[in-house]
Amino acid sequence: MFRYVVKRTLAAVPLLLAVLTVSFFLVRLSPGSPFQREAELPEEVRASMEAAYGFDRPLPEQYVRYIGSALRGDFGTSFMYKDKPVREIIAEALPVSARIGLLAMGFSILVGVALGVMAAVKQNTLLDYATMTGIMAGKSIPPMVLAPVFVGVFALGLGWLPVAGWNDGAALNLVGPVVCLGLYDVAAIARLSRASLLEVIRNRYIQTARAKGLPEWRVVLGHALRESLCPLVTYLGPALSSILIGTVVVEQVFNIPGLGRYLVAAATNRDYTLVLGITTVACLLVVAFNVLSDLALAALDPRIRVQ
Amino acid sequence: MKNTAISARAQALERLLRNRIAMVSLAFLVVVGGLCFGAPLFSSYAWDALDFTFEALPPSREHWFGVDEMGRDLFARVLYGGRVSLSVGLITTAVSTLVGVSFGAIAGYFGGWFDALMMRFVDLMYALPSYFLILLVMVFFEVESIYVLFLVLALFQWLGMARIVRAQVLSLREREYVVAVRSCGAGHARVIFRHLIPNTLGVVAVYATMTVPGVMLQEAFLSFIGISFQAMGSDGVMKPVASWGSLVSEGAKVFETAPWLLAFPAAFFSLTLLAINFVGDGLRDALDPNMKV
Repeated sequence: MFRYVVKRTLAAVPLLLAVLTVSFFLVRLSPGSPFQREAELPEEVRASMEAAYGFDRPLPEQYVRYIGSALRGDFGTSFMYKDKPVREIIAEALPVSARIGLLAMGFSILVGVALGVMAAVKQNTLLDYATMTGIMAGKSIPPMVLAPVFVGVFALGLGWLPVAGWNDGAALNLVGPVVCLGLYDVAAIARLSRASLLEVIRNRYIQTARAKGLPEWRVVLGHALRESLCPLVTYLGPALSSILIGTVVVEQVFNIPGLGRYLVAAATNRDYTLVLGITTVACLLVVAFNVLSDLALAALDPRIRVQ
Repeated sequence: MKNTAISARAQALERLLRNRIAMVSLAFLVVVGGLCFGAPLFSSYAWDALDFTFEALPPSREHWFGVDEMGRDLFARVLYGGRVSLSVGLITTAVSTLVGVSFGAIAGYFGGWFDALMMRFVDLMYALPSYFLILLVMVFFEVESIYVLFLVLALFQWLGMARIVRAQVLSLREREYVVAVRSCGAGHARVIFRHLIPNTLGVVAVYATMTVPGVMLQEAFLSFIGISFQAMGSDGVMKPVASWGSLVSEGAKVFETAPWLLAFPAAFFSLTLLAINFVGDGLRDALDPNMKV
């Protein structure tokens, strides 16, 4: 196991390097300097700003410096929020996004597995078809549609929830973002766990469990469920990326000061350093989560470690 | 007497025709596609024509879907926006399918270190978080042309297709008919493009169908973030193009005061995605009930 952990973690290093390299060249090869669009900057001022950011150095040196500072989490100063380092903005916004994201993931795993198991146990009944159709609908409603509709129904219409805002993470303020963010993965996870449970249930040991007279719910929960969850673990990586993408939309609609809202603000205002910082952090998170889900799978399934 | 020997293709077609949800979805897509691409026939307004009231108006007899806050007819905007969204979905999928199928088939056919090298490249690209890298490209290169968007989206879309086709070709190339074709003197290119790829088309069709909604969502995501594309307006001036994604994002901003501006584009967008997903499911069930995509 230890060897596998080391191997898998080291395999992520070239990937991280690739992410940083791609982002570096995107920035440096894009037309013009970021300071050119600041209207009519005097030549000396622009030169000194470029020097401050190290843009006057040769490209290889810039590259090495960039990788070094990115590894230290230093992305420079935001253009938009003057005098505020990108690192500080990310440090403030990341915990907010992480809170919503992790809750959404928990929500989608719980509800998704429950729905999937229900649909599998009652395969080919009305309940199964209804669940599967609902899941399909959940997959087809993008967060930018779901979130405003959710606000309209539960906040404006019924008045159960606050319309928007963070309010230091009060429970009621969290409900909307978490549900809207998690629903897409609920659909994906329910589909996966239904298919996987249906496959596992054909095994001989399930037949044995039934033969010794266990009630069906104990066969499913006690014997089949555990094995059927393995494919779900591999889905955790993709689930995180879909949550990262969704959070951009959801934070905007619910007005939550997380990474996503900063990203939208930075992209619309061409705040290059902030866009670069946030996307790099997001990329690193995705890579890290892929490694973590691989490790979790190896912990569950010994065959993978040996290969 | 009818011929009782039915080809596999005919059987698949029959299964598809019997699938009611898939057929209803297909009919829906044909209607929506017809409306969008034949927009001038159905709407007397241009997507960008202002009427200078500068007030959002609810649906009325003159404006079926109402008017947005710039005084533009929403029905026309939804139809023209659908054109853009559907084009993004279809063209990007077509480009990525072309690239993915060729890449995967070549890697799978030749095998060995060549295959390993090609697939390592795919693995690397696959592990990159495409949404965010695409966003970086769009922001830093200030892409305003929708044609560049097709290419940038396709850049990351072809990877899954390449993997699937490679896996298919790996098993197909061991078949006897391939040996037979080779012994008749067919070159590698002929074997790959005339004899191997046609046999993967079922899987390719299913996967391509499943790709379309994903691409349309990606475009919507970019629109939501505020990345807009320029197109020639009816007055010959370049202006931000409308797509279902951009209409939904605009509608979401004024949802409390003018809910119809969100409702109509959102309904078109979601129902179309749903229909494409159902058609994809139906195709998969028809071609191979055991297939996993």
